[in-house]
Amino acid sequence: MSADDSALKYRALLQISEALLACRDRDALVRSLWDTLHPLIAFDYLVIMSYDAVRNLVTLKAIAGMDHHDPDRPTQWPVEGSPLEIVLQTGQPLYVPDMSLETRFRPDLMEIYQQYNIRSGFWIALHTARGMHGVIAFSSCTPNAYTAEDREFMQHIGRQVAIANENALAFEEINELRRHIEDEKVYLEEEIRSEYRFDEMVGAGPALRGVLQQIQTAAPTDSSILIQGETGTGKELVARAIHRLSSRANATFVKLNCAAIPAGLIESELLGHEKGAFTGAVGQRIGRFELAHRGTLFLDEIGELPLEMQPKLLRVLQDGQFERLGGTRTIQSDFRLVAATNRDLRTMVAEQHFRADLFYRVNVFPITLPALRERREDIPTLVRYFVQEFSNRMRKTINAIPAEVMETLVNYSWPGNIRELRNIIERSVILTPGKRLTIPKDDLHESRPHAPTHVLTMDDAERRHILDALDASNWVVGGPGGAASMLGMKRSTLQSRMQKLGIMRRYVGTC
Amino acid sequence: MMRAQVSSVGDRVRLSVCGRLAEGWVPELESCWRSTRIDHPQSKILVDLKHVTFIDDKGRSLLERMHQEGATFAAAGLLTRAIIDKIIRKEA
Repeated sequence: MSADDSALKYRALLQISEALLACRDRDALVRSLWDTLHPLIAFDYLVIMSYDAVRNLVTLKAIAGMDHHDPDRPTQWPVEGSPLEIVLQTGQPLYVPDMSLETRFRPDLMEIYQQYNIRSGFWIALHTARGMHGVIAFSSCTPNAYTAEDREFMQHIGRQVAIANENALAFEEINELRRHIEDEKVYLEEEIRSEYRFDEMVGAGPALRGVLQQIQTAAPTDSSILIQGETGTGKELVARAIHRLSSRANATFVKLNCAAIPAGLIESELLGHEKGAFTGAVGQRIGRFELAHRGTLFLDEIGELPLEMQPKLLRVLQDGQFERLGGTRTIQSDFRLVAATNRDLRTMVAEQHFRADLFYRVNVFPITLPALRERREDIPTLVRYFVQEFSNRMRKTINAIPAEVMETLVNYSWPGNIRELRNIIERSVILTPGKRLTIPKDDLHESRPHAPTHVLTMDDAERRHILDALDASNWVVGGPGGAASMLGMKRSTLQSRMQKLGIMRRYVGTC
Repeated sequence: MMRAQVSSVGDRVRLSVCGRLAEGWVPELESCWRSTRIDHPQSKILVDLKHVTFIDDKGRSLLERMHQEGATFAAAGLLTRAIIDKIIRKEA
């Protein structure tokens, strides 16, 4: 080989290396090889094939020199009776100088070689540390097309193509896994939707309409939302509806019930932990803040969040940053917070059981869900909805609700709200013998109309009233427009009442 | 999910709907209703809602329009029947 030839070939090797670094697509790789090598080596066809050791099959992956879209050309064939079988058996590249003299290959392959007038060829196995995963083949319409020097050069090429082919295989696997995960996510989200039916909020009364309007207004913004309401009023349903109507609908909805996790573990649940961070941290765990990145974090029963965890939550809400327990790396997370509670957080703030700065951070847009007894006009519709749902599920036919049964249901106080109603209807459908709904009377512990279920102590009621007046006056106690004037009492009297009830102003902001 | 199927026996046409008549599925049913009317201009069309699990406000509005355009309904389930009864009473 002359010096010029050597220089050209090594330059070609460098160009191919650069092309391979950028390449994830075998078609682009083959085109690049064709453009770079064609001036140096005489070949008419260039093929890259992958090898499946489990099924002992060869699959055509990329081709240059032939029509890519020939529908009659097979793209997969067994290894037996092919050049690759000899390469596998010998562990060496295979050179066929004259195809017309070959007797080792299967007749169907010989037909293809004849069809494309392939007279000589050189097959090189693609090996990496992962093993043998493919073959590259240079074919020519001329017999004896390749010298020993050519073949040595092509083997250098083969070693580099092996790396690129392995990368291409890895990318294919990653894409396949990603597609699978996306399909699973879609399936699981559909399962959740069908379980919760959060877009089936039943009712047409003004109380529910007001809530739906608030959801429509607040959902598209990124503001924190605090959902308040008694237990069983549908707070999680509303939270999921907000997520679905937001710009984050395609990202994850992550939920944490602050009352369900032991106080000692809640920090780890939210922040995550590194392996060994504490006894029991046997592996790394990603926390809810991190999982909710670009999505929505729903903190149910936020009133139960331990006091020591509250400033940490506040910091994450303010800065969008945190470290896992036992970790030193700062992690960013951009999530939208939706919180829910059935507690009176204002009172908890006044009693110093909840931080005021966190309360104001979370309470940007409050939504209050009415108790079921505050929307009695919707009870008949809800009853029909649940009867229909459960009778379909149980394959029963219940097509009438006696007037007195409906009246009982409308007048009941529903301390457990919609959840209680749903449970009672489910039980009733199970127990109804005929086609007219019957309600087990024992299930309704009282039938007093409009019976209040949550009665505040006098002190709590007074505290709430004073706090409302202070909020309205921006914590101005005396003077015209002050809270004392609103409440119809002297400033000194109000101050005395505030002291007795432990009402103090908390300053918003970080220390 | 919603599915609508049209079947005809003689001059009787049945448009069977199952699933959720809500949100994005409502225009699908409306499109199906329109093409059924074009294909069977002289027939009475019965809209079978026995396997509908939920109807939202948009679905309700569509059913009202269909009723005004001559559809009759078959419904099972207390809620669906209550909705249809209300539509029919409103028309009367």
